[in-house]
Amino acid sequence: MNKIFVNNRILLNKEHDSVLDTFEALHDKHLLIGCRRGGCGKCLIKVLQGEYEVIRDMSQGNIDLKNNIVLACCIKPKTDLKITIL
Amino acid sequence: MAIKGVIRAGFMQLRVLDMEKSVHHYEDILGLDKVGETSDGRVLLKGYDEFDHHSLILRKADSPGMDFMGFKCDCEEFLDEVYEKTLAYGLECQWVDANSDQPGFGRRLAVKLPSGHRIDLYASVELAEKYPGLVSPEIWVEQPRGMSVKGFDHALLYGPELDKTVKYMTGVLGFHIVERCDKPDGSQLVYWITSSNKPHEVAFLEYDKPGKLHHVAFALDNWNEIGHAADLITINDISMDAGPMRHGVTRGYTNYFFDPSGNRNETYAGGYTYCPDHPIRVWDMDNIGRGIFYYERKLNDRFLAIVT
Ligand code: FES
Ligand SMILES: [Fe+2]
Repeated sequence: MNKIFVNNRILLNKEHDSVLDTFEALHDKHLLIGCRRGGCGKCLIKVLQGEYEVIRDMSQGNIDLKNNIVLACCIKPKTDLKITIL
Repeated sequence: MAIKGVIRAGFMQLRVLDMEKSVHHYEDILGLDKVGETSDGRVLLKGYDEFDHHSLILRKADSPGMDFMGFKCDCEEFLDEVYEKTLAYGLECQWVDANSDQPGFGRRLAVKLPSGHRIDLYASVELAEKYPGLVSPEIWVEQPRGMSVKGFDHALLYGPELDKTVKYMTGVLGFHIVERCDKPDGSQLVYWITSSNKPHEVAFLEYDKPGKLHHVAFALDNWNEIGHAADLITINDISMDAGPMRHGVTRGYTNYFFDPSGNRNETYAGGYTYCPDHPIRVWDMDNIGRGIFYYERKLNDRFLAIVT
């Protein structure tokens, strides 16, 4: 299981779960659970460290792939991730 | 009641991120019929219980949301009248040629609302290839699929300048206010408005960003069908928002869920019959949770915040 480091917390990511699914499964309210489908843009995060896979199309509004600013519902960790919530 | 002028909500053009997943969602799961595809790659769909050429258009884009929503009117002369009155009201509007971007549709008058949404008014549409039986008809011609939605029903739109928008919809287009929600300062948060016997054809909510879509709703017949739709939401791993439940507003039965691009969908059934002599029902902020989520009696975090 990959770990997601966010602020001072560590969340355990189950296989097949997006980063947002991990927050939702743990009832972690630091990220608002919105559409879960890459459309509403509410789950914007920056990945500071680690590798991830994009699992669905993201609304292009606020994301910036070059700087690892992505939507948490659209990515799955490939390694442990360090993220910050935007 | 003679329904004159604007007669109903008629179509929506929706932006989607992934066309293949979206067509699967609307065609196979909601049960709309695919009518065709335009040369620029948009996909046209309609419900089995609708007569007009199409009622939902999917357009692939970088961000989801709505391009415009159409309202069908009773005659061409009404459109000419609305053109003059819209300019006099101070809103931008322009004619869109017949059979241009919407195959089968006559000319449309596109109006830019103060809320930032574009609405198209039109009076002439070709009959679809498949439509409900007309001569000693059966209840359907082909067995409906999936959730078996009958067609497009209504939408909730978020944007600024709520008062100016609703004054135009009522004063110029002849909509009636059916219900509203007031804020503590006496101003309004939401208006549910209609042009027919349905309890709402469209609703507007005051919001800082223009032109936003809260949800697009499709019609079902009853509570059993709402339950069946909820089953399909789970079976197909569709992102659920809320339901199955009832609204206090309109008293309709409902599910909210998200399409593969994050546009919120609703399946809506029932609701009372509205007549233009009915007084306006008024909600306040302390009770609006019950107005939207009648059984839970409070809004979820998503309801006000999540739009496309
Ligand atoms: S929850 Fe809507 S974009 Fe991620
Ligand atoms: Fe609705």
